[in-house]
Amino acid sequence: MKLFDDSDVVLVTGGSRGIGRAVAIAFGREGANVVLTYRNDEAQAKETVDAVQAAGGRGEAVHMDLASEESVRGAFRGLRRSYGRLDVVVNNAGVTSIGLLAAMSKARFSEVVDIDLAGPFLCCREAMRIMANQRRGSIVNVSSALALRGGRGQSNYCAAKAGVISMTQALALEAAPYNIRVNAVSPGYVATDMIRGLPREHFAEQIPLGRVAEPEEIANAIVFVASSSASYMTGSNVVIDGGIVVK
Amino acid sequence: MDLETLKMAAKERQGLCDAIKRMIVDRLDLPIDPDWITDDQPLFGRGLELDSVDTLELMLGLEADFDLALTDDDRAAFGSVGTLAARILEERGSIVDAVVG
Repeated sequence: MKLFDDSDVVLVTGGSRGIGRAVAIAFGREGANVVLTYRNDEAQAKETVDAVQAAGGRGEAVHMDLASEESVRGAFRGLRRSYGRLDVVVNNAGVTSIGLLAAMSKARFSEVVDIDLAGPFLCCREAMRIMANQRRGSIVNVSSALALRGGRGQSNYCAAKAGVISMTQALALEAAPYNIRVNAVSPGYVATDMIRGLPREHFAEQIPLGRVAEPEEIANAIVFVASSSASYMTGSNVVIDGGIVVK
Repeated sequence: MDLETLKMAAKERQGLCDAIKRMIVDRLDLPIDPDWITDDQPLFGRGLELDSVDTLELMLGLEADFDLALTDDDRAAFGSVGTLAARILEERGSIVDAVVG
C-alpha cells in the first residue's frame, strides 16, 4: 500500500539532484504529486521530473531562489493557485562554503546561513500559511549530523544546520494546534556532489558502518517521517549517519 | 476623476471592508455581528481587543481570502478594518488607491 495518494502535493526544495532528487523520486513512487524546486539547472530539474513520472508519480519543476524572499513567496503562491493544497514540504536545498572560521569573511558566513537557515525559515513560513488553513500538513527540514558534532572548516554550515534543528523544535510547538507536524532529518555523509572529489576512504574510517550513505537511504527516512506512518512524531530530529554521532 | 468613478471606488472599498469584517468574525469565532465592527475601530488594544494569537489567524485569513501576505513588520496595516482594506487595495493597484492615496 502506498504512503500517499494522487491528490497529495509534496514540495521538495533542491529537488533536482542529490538527496532532493532521491526524495522527489521516492515520493513519486509512493503516489504523490511532486513539485521540486531548482535554482540554476533547469535541464537537470526536468530530468528529475521525468524520473518521478517514471517511478509512478506526477511531477513539476519550479524555479525558486532560497536567498530571495520574493522568489520563495512567488513559488508558494503559484503552487497554491495550481493545486489548492500543500501536504508535505521537504526543506532539502542547501549549500556549503568551506573555510576556517578565523579567516572567514562575514559574507561567506552569511551566504551559507541565508540559504541553509533563512531559506528553510521562508519556506516554513509560506508552508504554514497554506497548511494552517487546511488544519493539516507535514514539514521535514533536512539538517545534518554535523550540526550535532561540528566539522572543521564548516562553522557556517554547522551553525545553519544546528539552527534548523532548533527552528524545527520551535515550529513544531506552534504548528501542533493546527495538526501540522514538523520534524528534522540529519544525514551524515551522503554520496552526492557535496562530497564529490573526496576519497570515500576518507569517510569510511570515521563512520562505524564503514561507508557513506546512498541518497535513497536518506530519502526513505524522509518519506516515512513525512507520511501518516509517523503520525505521532513531531519536533523530532532523526539522525541517519551510519553511527558517526554516537562514535 | 468624475463622480461615477468616485462612487464605484467608494463602493469597492466598502464591499472590501464588509468582507474583512466577516472574515474576522468567522476566523476568530467572535460572538458579534460583523456590522458591529466599524471601519476605523482599533482591532487591538481598546476597540475589538484582539490579541497576538489572533494576529496569526488574521494573517492566514488575509492571505487565503484576499491574497495579501503580511508579516509582523506590517503592524500599521492592522490598525483597523479601514487600514487593512487600504493595504489590500494598494496591493491590487485599485482605482480607490489612485483616488485617496
